[in-house]
Amino acid sequence: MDTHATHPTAHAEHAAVPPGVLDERLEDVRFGKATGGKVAMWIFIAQDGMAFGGLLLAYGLLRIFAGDNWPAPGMKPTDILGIPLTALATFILICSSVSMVLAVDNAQKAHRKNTVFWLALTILGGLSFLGIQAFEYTHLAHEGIGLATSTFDGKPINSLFSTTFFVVTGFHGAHVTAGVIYLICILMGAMKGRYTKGGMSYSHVELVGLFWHFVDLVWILVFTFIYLL
Amino acid sequence: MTQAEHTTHTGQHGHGHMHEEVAHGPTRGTFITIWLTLGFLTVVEIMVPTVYSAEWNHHIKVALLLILAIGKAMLVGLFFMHLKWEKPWLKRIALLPAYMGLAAILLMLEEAFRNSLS
Repeated sequence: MDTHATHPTAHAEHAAVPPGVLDERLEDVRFGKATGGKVAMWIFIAQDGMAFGGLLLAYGLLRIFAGDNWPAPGMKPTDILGIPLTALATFILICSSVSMVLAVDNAQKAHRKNTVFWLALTILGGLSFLGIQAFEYTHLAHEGIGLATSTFDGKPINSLFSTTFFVVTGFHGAHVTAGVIYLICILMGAMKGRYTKGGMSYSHVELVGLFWHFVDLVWILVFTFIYLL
Repeated sequence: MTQAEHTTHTGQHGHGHMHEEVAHGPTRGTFITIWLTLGFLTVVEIMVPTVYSAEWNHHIKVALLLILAIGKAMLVGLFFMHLKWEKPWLKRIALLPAYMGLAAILLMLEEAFRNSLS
């Protein structure tokens, strides 16, 4: 990125940027203060968003083709899927997005303890979401809902319903799992004060934040498409 | 003001302008407001299938749920992911999946109304 547009006197006035930390005063003509890592994360998010878009598109088309047979004639998805529990999981994920944004805010202000606290709370939110998803999968499996063949109350249901359900929610669950692992790695660095040194040292917390918000954003769409529509 | 001019402007005013940018950025109050709005919209979202459960208002239900979902997703993107305060080039990258979403909507509409159009 082109960072030549930075004014030289800014460096002279504030030369105390810690070693190994990006200079926050560098500004790119096109991307502003966004670091290379941030631009790369956005490109990743865009392509990952398209992957989710493809899955949701396939889900939508299969559902339109199935007509009334979704999940079975005379039945609605809500007859099988538990809305209250999933709504709770959705709210937990939204709450974890707020804790994430507060972690970034505190890292930006170089508050180490607060950053660690909000990061830990975000991880807890992610783990709770995964726990609810595991509970839901176990419950559905006991009901007879599987990847290839599915029954509900002893009656066969459209297996495309269960296949697309597990593929889309499972793909999202994999993202939450990756996000939690990523957050744990960042939390360990944050505990050592690696991201609260001032300057752009907080940028790693910002990157994991972008990924986590993306996971939340995608779930908002998945929840509507799979559970509510 | 072009981006190049804006950058030069930043350079001329140096540190003072940076404080100005921080002041225009999101505050904790913004995050809490968005969080409460998202929570409220989720409650509304859950109520929609119950209120519009009849066959005749199915399309209203679908339209409302899609509007609510897109609205919530935009709130997360604009405020939590800070897109509102980013430069246009980052916004363009972020919008790439939205073009696919548009293609998906057109494809599904064509599929849904194919018989009635022919």
